[in-house]
Amino acid sequence: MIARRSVWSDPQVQALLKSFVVSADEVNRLQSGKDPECRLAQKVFEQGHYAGRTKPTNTRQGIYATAPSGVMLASINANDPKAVAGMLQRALDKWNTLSETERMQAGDPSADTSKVNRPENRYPADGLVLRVFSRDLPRDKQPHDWRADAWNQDYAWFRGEEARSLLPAKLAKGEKASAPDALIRRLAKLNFVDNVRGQTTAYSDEDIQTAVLESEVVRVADGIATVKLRGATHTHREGVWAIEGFKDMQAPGKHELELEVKLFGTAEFDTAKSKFVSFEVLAVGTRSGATQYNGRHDDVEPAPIGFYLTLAGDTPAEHVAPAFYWSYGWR
Amino acid sequence: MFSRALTMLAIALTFQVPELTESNFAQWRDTIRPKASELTFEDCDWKPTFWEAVVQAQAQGKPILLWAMNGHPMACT
Repeated sequence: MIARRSVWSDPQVQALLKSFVVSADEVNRLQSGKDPECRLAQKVFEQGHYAGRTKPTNTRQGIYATAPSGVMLASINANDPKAVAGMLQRALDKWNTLSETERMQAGDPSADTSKVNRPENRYPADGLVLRVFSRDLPRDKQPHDWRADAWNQDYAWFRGEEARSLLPAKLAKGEKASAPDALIRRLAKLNFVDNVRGQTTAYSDEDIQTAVLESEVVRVADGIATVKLRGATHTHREGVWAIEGFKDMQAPGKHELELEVKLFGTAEFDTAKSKFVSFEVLAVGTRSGATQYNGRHDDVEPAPIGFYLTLAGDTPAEHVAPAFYWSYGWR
Repeated sequence: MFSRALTMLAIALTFQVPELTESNFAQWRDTIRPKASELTFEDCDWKPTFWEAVVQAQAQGKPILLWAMNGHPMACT
């Protein structure tokens, strides 16, 4: 997450990137899948900085420069822009030594695109796609480093019929409805999680103490229904897990994890197109506890947290699947 | 019960969770939503899948840069 601000905004790095086709992707699927995309990624990973590694984990995360053929050019796992710029320059130097045959695949890879099995293949174009930002809210005790203004993001997907079910069946002023349990519980479990400083785990159904979302139509004009949204979620879990990355993973301790927020906002729904045209909801409340990789091991006491949910745009990057997509159960 | 009360008191002394209203909604939205300066990493022409980059790089005769993380870098990492 730190790389978002430290590496990719660096002018030297951005200048070097113009020589590459740049991509960002999720490493777990790439390193364990069996489709042509995963196979090629695995060929690259096993020539890179974590090749063959199994401890402390088998992750292959990092930054890789490769030829389309899968011939490795250079790789690194770093948040230092100078180190990354150096790696990119080494990669270009090696690229310039390769023949066309070494650089390119023998066939056209686009012929295999239909064999690539990604969650993004199930992007709900006719539904609702929310971008969900998270950030700590102001408090007295804030660290004096990048964590002070850390933020993160994720997505929440709703299929067309799910999106419509968030609203009253009849879109007339004064109509009210409660969102289906399954949908607000999905938000509570998968989106209202403390990922501000890094990846965390999802909550499970057993962890949910409260999950409600109510809507009220306050205006209908020119085919647009304006709806007020209010709700609350509260999740709590206790058990044994690690909270300090690799440090305590061999001897995890007993911990609690809790997040409680109230939701408030407005959405507009185009009744003719049956589609949301605006969506702005805030969820603010309190979090406590830590998970293995979310950077809270020294910040477990209750503290304020906020989420902002809004319509995602239509850029390719905004079609990326939610982090916990596999918990959606979509086929 | 007593320990819970102490915890709630400690929370009240160090921060206050805002009560969201129409009038303060924009203020809290702007606090939480990343500023433009925090989204400059999006200025790169990221392909959100490795395979899209492979197909394009093969067509354009260019090398590929892959940023692969636990959690998609364009979503939650």
